[in-house]
Amino acid sequence: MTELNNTRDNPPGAPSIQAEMVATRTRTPYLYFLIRDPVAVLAALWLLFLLFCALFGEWLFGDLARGMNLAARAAPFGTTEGGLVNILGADALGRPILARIIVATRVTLGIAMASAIAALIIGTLIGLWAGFKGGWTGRVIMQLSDVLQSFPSILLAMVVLYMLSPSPLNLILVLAVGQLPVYIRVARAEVLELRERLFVDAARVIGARPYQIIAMHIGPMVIPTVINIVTIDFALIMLSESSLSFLGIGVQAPNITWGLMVSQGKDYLETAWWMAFFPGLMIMLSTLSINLMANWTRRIRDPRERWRFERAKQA
Amino acid sequence: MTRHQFELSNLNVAFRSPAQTVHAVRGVSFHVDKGETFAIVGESGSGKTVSMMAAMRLLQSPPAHITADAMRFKGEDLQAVRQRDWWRYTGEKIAMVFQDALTALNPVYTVGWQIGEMFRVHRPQMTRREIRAASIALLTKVGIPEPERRLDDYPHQFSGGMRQRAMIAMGIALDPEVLIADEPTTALDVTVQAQIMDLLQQLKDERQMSLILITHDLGLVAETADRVAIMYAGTVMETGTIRQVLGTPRHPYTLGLLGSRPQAIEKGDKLRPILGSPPNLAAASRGCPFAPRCTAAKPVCSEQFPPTVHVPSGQDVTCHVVAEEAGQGNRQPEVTT
Amino acid sequence: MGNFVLARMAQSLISLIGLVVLVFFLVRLTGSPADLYLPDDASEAARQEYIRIHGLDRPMIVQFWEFFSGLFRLDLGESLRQARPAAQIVLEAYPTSLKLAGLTMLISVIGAVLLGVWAAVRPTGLLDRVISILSLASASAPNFWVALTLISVFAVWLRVVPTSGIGGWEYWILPITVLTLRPLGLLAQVVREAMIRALTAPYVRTAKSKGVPFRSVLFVHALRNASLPILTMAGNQAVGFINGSVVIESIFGFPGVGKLMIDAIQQRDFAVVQAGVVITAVVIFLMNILIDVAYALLDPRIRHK
Repeated sequence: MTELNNTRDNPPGAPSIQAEMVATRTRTPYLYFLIRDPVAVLAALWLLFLLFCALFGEWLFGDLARGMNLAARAAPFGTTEGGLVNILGADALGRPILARIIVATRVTLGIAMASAIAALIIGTLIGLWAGFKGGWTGRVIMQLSDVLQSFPSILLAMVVLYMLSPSPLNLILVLAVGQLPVYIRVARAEVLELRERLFVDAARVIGARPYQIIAMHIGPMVIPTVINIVTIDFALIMLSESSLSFLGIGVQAPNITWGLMVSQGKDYLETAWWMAFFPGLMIMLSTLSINLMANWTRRIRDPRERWRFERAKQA
Repeated sequence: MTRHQFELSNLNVAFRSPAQTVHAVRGVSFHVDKGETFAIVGESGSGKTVSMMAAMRLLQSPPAHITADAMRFKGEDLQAVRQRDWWRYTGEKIAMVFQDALTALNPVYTVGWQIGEMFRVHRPQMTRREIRAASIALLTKVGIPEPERRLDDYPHQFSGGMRQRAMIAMGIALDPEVLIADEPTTALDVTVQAQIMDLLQQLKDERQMSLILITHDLGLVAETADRVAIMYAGTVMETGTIRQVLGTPRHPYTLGLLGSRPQAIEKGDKLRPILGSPPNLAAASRGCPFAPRCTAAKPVCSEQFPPTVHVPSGQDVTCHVVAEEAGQGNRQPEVTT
Repeated sequence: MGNFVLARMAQSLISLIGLVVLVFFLVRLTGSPADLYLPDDASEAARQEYIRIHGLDRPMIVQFWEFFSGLFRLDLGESLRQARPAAQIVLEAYPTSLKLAGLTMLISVIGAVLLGVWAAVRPTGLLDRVISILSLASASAPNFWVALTLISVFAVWLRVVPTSGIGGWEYWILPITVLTLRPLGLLAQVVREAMIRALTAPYVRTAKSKGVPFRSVLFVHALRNASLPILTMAGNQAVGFINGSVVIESIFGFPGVGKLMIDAIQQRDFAVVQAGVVITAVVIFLMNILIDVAYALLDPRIRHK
């Protein structure tokens, strides 16, 4: 039998052609894709704004956010009395909502970020260990990780925070624990795959110990996957933290987070809706922006979708 | 003008994205007559499958952009058929058998359900019992033992050859007049390949179907086809009867193909592969797509698209060199046979 | 099919036992259980009394056996506030929550399938982009905030639905709406993704070549194949329903297990918290079995493994 080609024909039609298009694509910078997508631009700008608030908010509005001002008690939304800072209204103690929102950015984002990074580092390390060890250790770790995964994370956090005290550190740790299983799974899977591939050939040929090789190659393999997960987790943790703070078992006053602000405003729904509305809107816009960016990067990297966004080739 | 069973004239398919346009098929024309096996041969990416997918409206558009001077079924203009009436043609009058039945059959439905679907869509008056009986008859026809039992099995419970037989049973369910078989034997063992091809030939003879065989296997073509088109980079290079094209090949690409067949070599000779690799279809050249790899290429080859000429041995060849030898430098509009 | 489900059951059973062990030790790691069970202001004498009665001074292994065998008698301790078995209190609250979760999941799955399929038909078309952003937004919204906003608008301002409490169907509208948002948004994205993948599969091309109407290609051929990732996500959301119900039930004053838990935590009624955790673990165990059965029903390849 004569074969014109030894590779099997691609499943015909668009997919194979698209794959070809991707293979011959010109490298288009990410910034170019970004400016083509107005929604992604807005999301990115919003995140930059948050970063600014987190860095300089305390310095700019710290005193305003904490000082009582009885004259402006429950000042309504839209007022300019007492300065533009009262534009979103004021709370029961006359503290401007806008200032408090900006100041709260640091703690809100800080807790989420610390927690996400802790989950990433601890989870990945446990996963790597489970992958290296294999056997019984590996199995027990995975089983524990399954227990953790199947148990509702907020309930878990509630119970643990009940038994411990709701200090910021405990909060960060308990939120991180809920996200561990994903990283454990991903890191372990990568180690197992590497083992499969390198254990047999390369390691034996070079005479190097397989662990050395895995240690050398694991970074580049795990990092991209894990980075993508961590962005989505960041938004997820932010939501969990605000839920816990809303329930009164998360961040405690005098610290401020958006979730806590919603909680403080919930008793004034009928008289001063802005107290709860705007902090909640901040949570919503921020998690949405993070998710939009994560979604956007994923689509840009996906060869099946990327071609749709590519730059027209200059003739 | 004779009425062919199926006819394509000057078919062009391009895949467009903002970044680039890939010309997957350029000016493909051919026809099939009743009871005939017509083979389209080419390497992967030569556009043989894409041509048939385009004709059968199986490409998603965009990105696919399809134009043709004519697409006819028994003289009827297929391009004029509205999308909502298309189902009366596909499956019913023109059916397809795909390669790799493991992925081409739906993994979550039984084989019987998938064959029966042909009847449920096209013969709504049939009862469930009639459909089952007809499906059993079809499985028996294509040589699947214990058809009553196998009907309720899922594709993954079949062997490769049996799956392909089931796929064929589905294709011939409604007695189509044209059957398009896209690499029907690619994923199979050599012995099973022969059985499947025998089955297709036998069915074709019994039912006086027209068989369009898409393949990259020249050996298969020599054994089964009546006429053949050799495709390269989206263009038909040479077309004619088996005897003409394989017996007295004229196009440098065809010559190269036959030269690179292991059987064509005398003992002790070396294989003579065609040097180079197929062109990037995104960079549309004006000239002959084969020019960069052609040993007989002349300057004109990379500048002008070659004309199609009818050579004395009977076949049509799309080549500058052959055209000059035949004293026909002028460009002919299209293949006429 | 039996094999697959049995294997998975064994797996989840180990998880369940693991969790129970974890609860037992966590309680003892953080100090004496007496501190947890008793009110903060309990006297030292009451403490000693409690330890003596419940045998907390006996060896760990004996205590564990007591605890473990107590589980089978549904003996999870006595509620401090209500002076009746904690397990009974939790079990009374569960039906409301399950009804809420069931309705929520039903609406989310149906809505997500319609939206996701619609978006997948023309990827990156205008409709797809609108649906994608909306589903992301609905998955990103903090549910307590949505709940408060909806209460402000529909209960306080327009006065078309009650603010909170339990009663006729009108009490269910807002909680279900809020609880639906996140699963709906997440599921719509999964449906879209899975459908895009399924629609480029060879079997879809085969179906089209058979003349199968497009609607059947979508909902019969592609959707059935896309259903496994959808089921996975729906299962995750169903198993995690209590995350949302803790917040939403307490906002709407819904007497479900979520509100029970948060109340118990605020009243420091540990027996109820512990019973809630253990019974929730059992409910999740049962739900995982249902999900595995659904897997096997949807995909014959799993059934025949």
